[in-house]
Amino acid sequence: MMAAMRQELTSRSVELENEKIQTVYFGGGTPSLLSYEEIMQFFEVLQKHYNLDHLEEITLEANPDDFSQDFIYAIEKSPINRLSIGIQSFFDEDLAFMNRVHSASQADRCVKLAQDKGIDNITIDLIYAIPSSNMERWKKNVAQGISLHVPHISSYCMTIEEKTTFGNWERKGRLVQVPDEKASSQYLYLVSALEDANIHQYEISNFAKSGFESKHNSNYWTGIPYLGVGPSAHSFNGKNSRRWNVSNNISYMKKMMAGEHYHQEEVLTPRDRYNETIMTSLRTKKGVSLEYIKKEFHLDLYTSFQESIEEHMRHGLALLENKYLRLTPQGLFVADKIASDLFLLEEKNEH
Amino acid sequence: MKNIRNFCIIAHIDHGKSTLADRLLQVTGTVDDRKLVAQTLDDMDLEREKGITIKAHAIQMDYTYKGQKYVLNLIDTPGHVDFSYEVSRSIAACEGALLIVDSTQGIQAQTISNLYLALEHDLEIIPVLNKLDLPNAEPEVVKDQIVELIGCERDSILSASGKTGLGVDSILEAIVERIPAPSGDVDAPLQAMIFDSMFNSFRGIIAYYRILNGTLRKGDKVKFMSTDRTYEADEVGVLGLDLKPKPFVAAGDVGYIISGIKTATEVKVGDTITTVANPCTVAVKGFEDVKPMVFAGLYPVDTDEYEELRASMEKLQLNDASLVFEPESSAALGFGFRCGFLGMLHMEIIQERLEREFDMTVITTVPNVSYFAYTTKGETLEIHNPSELPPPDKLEYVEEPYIKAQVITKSEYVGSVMTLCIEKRGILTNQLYLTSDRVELSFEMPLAEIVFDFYDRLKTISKGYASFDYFPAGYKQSDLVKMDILLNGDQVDALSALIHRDHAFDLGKKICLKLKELIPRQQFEIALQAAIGAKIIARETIKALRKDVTAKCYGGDISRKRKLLEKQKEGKKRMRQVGSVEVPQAAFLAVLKLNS
Repeated sequence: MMAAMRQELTSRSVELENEKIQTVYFGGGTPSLLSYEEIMQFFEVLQKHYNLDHLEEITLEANPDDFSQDFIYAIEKSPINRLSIGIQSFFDEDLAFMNRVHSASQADRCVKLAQDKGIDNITIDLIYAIPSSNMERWKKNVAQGISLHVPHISSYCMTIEEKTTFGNWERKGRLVQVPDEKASSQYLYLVSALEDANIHQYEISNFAKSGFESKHNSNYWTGIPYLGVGPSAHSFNGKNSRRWNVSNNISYMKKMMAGEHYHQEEVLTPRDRYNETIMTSLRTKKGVSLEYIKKEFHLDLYTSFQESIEEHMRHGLALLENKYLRLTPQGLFVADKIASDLFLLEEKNEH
Repeated sequence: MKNIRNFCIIAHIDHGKSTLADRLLQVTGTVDDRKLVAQTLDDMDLEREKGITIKAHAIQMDYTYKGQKYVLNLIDTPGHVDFSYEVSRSIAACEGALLIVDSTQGIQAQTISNLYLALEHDLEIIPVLNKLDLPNAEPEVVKDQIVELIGCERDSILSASGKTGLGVDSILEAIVERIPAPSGDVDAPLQAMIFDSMFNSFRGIIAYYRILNGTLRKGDKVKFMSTDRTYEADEVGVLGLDLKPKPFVAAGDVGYIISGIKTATEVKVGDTITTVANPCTVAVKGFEDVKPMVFAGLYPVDTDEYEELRASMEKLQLNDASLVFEPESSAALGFGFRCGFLGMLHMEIIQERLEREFDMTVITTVPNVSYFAYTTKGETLEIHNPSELPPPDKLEYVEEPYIKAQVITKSEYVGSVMTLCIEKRGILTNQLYLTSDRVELSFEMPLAEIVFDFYDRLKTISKGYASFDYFPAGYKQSDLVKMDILLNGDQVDALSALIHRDHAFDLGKKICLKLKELIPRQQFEIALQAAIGAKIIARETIKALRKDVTAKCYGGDISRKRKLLEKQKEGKKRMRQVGSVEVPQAAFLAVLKLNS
C-alpha cells in the first residue's frame, strides 16, 4: 500500500507543478500506525517531486490509544508539526457507546504526552449530541477540552446515518437521536464556552485561538487545489475538476501497480462551482463575499435572493456586514437549508 | 367468415401477456424479427413500464393451418378495474380468450373477474401455462387450480414460454381449432360495435370496431347510434402492425374507420355503427356512457404554466375521452382544473402522461367522488369539490354514491378483508367459496371509501392476493361533513375533504399527524389543525427548524453534499406557500397516504 501511494504521489506531481505546497495532511484510516521510516519515505517523495518552500502545516491524525513510545518518537523526529487527536469524549460511557477502543484516561493523558515533547500545535475532536450523554456531561467535556490548553478544537454533532450500525439501532429503537433542540443547545453552549476561553469559531465545526485556524481545512473551503493520495482520496484542481480514487484498498493497489485507471472525475460547471462556493463559505465565520460572487459568477447575490436573505436576517440567522453575508451561530446550525435557498438550479429546458 | 378467429388475452400483470403476444406476431410473420420491439402491443412508454395495458389495441395476423388461410384478430384488453367497461367491450368483440397463467405464481385473483366476464360472454377459454422455462415453475399445481376454476379438461391446458417461444405453435393451432368462427350476416344491415379508438394527429380519431352483421364499405354514410351523428367513411380497413386500408370490412371481422372526427368524445366505446342508407334496428347491447367516478384538482406546479396545462389536457383528451375537466381556482394552489377520472389508476395515469408526454408536473388535490347536496330551498346540487358544499344551515342532506364491490381473495385473508371493508363502511352482502381456498366477498360500500387508501391496504393485508371489482349502485343519504385543514390558522382549501361524520375525529388526527411528517420544519413553529366549521377536532405542532447542517465538509464531502442540497432546493421549488408556510406537493395527497 505504501509503495502504491508513493507511486501515485510521484506520478501526479505534474498536477501541482506550479503550486507551492502549503499543507500536508496524513488522515483517513489510521495514519498513526505509520512508522517513522514510513513517514519519512513519503517526505522523500514529496521533497523530490514537489515545491515545499512554503510548507507550513503538516498534520497527522491520531487516536488517544496510539501514543506508544515509537509513535511519540516518530512525531518528534519527523517534520510533522501538528497533531489531530480523535478524543471524541473524556467519558468512558460515551466512548463505549460510540464503540471507541480508547479510554477516558488515555484521552486525558495523550495530549499531555505530546505537549511534554514540545508538540503544542494540537487539535482535538469532541462529539456532542451523543444519545447516551446529556448537557451536564457535555459541559464537563467542553471544560476538560479547554483545560488542556490546545489551540484548536473541532467539534462535530453526532449524525446517525442510515445503513450504519447506529442507523440500524435507531430503526430498531435501540437508540433515540438527540432531538434537534437539545443538539442545538449543546452546540450553542460549545460556541459560547469556547469563545469565553478565547477559542473562536471559524467554521461550523472548527474553533481556534487566533492564528491557529487549520490552514489545511480552510483551503478546502476557499477553492485552493488539493491532491489526495490513497484509496478513496479526493482531489480538486482548483478550477473545475474533482476526482476521487477507488475506495477498495486491494483494487486501488492492483490498479496502481498495473497502471490502470484508479479514479473517477467530475467536471464542475460554473453553476456547480457557484453552489459549492455558497455551501462552503456560508459554513465559515467569514461568510460569503458578495464581491467575490459578483466577480466570479457575475451575480448580485443580495438582489437575486433578497426575499430569502431578508427572511433569514429577520430570524436572526444571517447578517450582512462589510459586503459579506455571514451566518450567526444559530444560522450556522441550519447552514444547509440557508445554502440551498441560495443555490442556483439548472434551468429546465423550455419547450 | 369461417376462417376468422377473434380472441383476447386474459392475464394478470406480469404473467407474460405482452411477451407471448409478441411471439404470436412473430410466428405468424405479422411483424418481422428485426422490427420486434419488445412488447409491440403496448405502444405507450407508460404501459410498458407499468406492465399493464392501459388502452386496448387490436392487431390482425394471417395464419395458415392445414393448408387453409386464417385471419386471427387479437384484441388486447386493459387490465384494471378502472377500465372494466372497456374490458367488457373488448371481450364482447371476441369469441375466445387465451387465459395466460404464470406457472410460477398460479392463477391470481385479479384475473378472475375478467375471466368471469369472458365466461359471461360465452367465450371459449384456452388456458395457457406460461413461463415454463423458469426453474421454479409448478405446472402440476397450477393445472389443478385452473381445472378447479374453469372446469376444463386437464389435458386441454397448453404449455408455453413467451421467452423461449415454446408452445406458440400449439397456441395458434388451438385458436383455430377451439375458438368458434364468428357468426353474422354479411348482407344484413350494418351493426358494428366500437371497442376502442385512438387519436392520430394527421387523421383525427380512428375508431376500432367489430362487425357483428353487415358490411362497411369505404365511402358509406355511417351513423353512430348513441350520438346520432353521421359521418362519411373516408377510409376503412383492418389492423396490421399499421393500418391496412381495404375497400370494405365485413361481418365477423375487426377493423377501423376514419371519418374526419376531431373530438374523442364523439366516439364512445360500446357505441354501434350502422349505415344511414340501411340502418339496423337495434344497437349492440351493453353500451354505457362512461361517467367519471373520481374528481380531483390538477394544478401546475409553476403557476404561470396554467395555459400550458390546459393545452396539454386538451391534447390528452383527444385520445382519452373519459378525461373531463373544467377550470377551478384555489387559494393555496392558484389556477387549475377540476378533473373527472374513471378511477384512481386513471388519475395516476393522466398525471404521469402529463409529466412524460408534456413535461407538465402537476399538483393533485385530494380526490373525491361526486355528491348530491339537497338544500333547504329544495335545490339539488351536484358537488364535485368540497368547497361547493353549501354551509350547514343551508343544507338539508347529502347523498353519496354507493358501489357493489367484489373482492376475490384466498380464504386465509377473508377475515382481514372483511375487517377492512367494514371499516370502510361496507356491508357484507354475500360470501361465496369459488374453490376450496378462493373466496368471493360481496359488499355494498360508499365509493368515496375506495378513494381513500383502499387499494393499498387491500393489497397489503392480502399480500397482493385479492382482486377488486365494483359497479355503481346508486346514491344513498349519508352523514357527511366538510373537514378543513388549517396551517397557522390559514385554511388550506386544497386539503378540505368531505368525510363521514363518524370518521372525522380519527381522520382529522391522522391527517394532522401525516402532515406533520410531510411538511418540513421551517424557521418558525407551525400549528396544524383539523376543523369542522369553527370546531377544531385535532391539532399537531411542527416545531421550528433548529438543526440542518452536516458536521463535516472537507475534501471528499463537497460534491456529495452539494448534490444533496441541490436536490433539496429542487424539492423546495415545487412547494406551495400557504400563508407563511411552505407546503410540499406530497402534503396535498396526505389523506391518501395515511397508512403508508
